[in-house]
Amino acid sequence: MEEIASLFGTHKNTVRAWVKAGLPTSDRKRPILILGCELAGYLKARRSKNKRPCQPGEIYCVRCRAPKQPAGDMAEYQPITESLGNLEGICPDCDGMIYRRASRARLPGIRGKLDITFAEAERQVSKTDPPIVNSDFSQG
Amino acid sequence: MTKHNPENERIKRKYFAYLKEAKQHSEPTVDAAAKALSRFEECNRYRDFKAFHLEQAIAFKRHLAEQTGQRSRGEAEQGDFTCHPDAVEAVLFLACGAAGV
Repeated sequence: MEEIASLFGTHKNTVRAWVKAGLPTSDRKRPILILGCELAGYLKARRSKNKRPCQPGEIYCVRCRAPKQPAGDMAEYQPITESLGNLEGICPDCDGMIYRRASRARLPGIRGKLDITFAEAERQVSKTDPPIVNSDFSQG
Repeated sequence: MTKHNPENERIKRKYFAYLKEAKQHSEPTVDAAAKALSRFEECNRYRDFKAFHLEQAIAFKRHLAEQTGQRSRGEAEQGDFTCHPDAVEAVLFLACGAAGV
């Protein structure tokens, strides 16, 4: 147990917690031995359990912590650069905004059943000059 | 199907600690010994080391000879012939010591 803790740079109580959570040990005797292949399998399963990859047509909702189909199967594509942008939708459960970064070229693969509208126009009606921060000078 | 024998695992752990600490072998050398022992156990169907019999060693050598090498493609690799029985022999000494034979 101490050996595993030093191998991963964790405290030995962390390894004890893994054993409590279901990491199988070699037998019930002490010192507790854990097979390397079982440890590797356990940690891999634990990591992959937390990953929730989005299927086509889904956007991850950070509040609900799950991939969701946007409400009304509608999403809006907000371009950031020419090739990259955000898919924006509304979560059907918590009504919060949900976003998914999407490349424009890969959009057909990601879209699924979604009805995507493209925001071509500028977000602001008129452009304003950025305010001058250096106000001490009379002329900028 | 059993994939390991807990008693054997304890003996093997002692042996690897001996190789690493007393003999100061490097990690690949210890890994090679681990590979040899796991092959022996697999051939042996995870029987207790303490229940060792001469026939098991002979069967293991025959088993090695039947294996086809992955690199040489066709013939058994010579290295396995020499290294594997050595590692097995060493760990059996430990097992005998543990059993008080």
